[in-house]
Amino acid sequence: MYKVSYVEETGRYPGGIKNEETPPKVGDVVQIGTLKCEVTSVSEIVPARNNFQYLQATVKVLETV
Amino acid sequence: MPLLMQTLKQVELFHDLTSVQLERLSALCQSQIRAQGDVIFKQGDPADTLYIIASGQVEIAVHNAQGDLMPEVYLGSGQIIGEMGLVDAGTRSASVTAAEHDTHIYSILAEDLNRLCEEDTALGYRLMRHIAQDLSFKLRHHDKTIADQ
Repeated sequence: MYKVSYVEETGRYPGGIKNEETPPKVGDVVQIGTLKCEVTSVSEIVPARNNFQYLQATVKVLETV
Repeated sequence: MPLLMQTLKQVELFHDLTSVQLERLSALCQSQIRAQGDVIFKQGDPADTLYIIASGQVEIAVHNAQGDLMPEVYLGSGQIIGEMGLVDAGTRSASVTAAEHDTHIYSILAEDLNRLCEEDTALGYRLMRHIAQDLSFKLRHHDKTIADQ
């Protein structure tokens, strides 16, 4: 399981946190609240524990839904 | 394994509990389906319940100095809300609204969860450790958001 912190690159929009079954990749499109966003970078935020990996994904807003 | 037990197993807070502990926990859970825009709780309300998001998303928002409600973060499947109240028994620090149709959440009364933790201290230790880890993760997320502003 991947616990992902999605952070919007400008800081002007709220990000999100959710569990994912597969890790996000650069270019993926994700929905964060009313925002459709594209993943621009992915990194480990803290070391993995047990069955969880902890990732931070930076996103840019494509459109508001 | 029933759906509720499968959901709880995928929540970081509960992932390393035994099957017996998960069964005791699941007996405390109430299932709710919320429509988009449904208010789950408001900033300043008494904090007496822990919520687990099974599917969908919720918006966490706080009032700014002008009194406007500002979205801070969206939480999706596997995340918990209301854990601060479980730790400090304070009032709600933010307002929470369902951000998607058919957002599925489970609720557990803090009083029931605290009683379970006292009856099974091994479970209580794990839960409190995981709550601390979850709060740490949320703080790191918040710090990164602030750093990018």
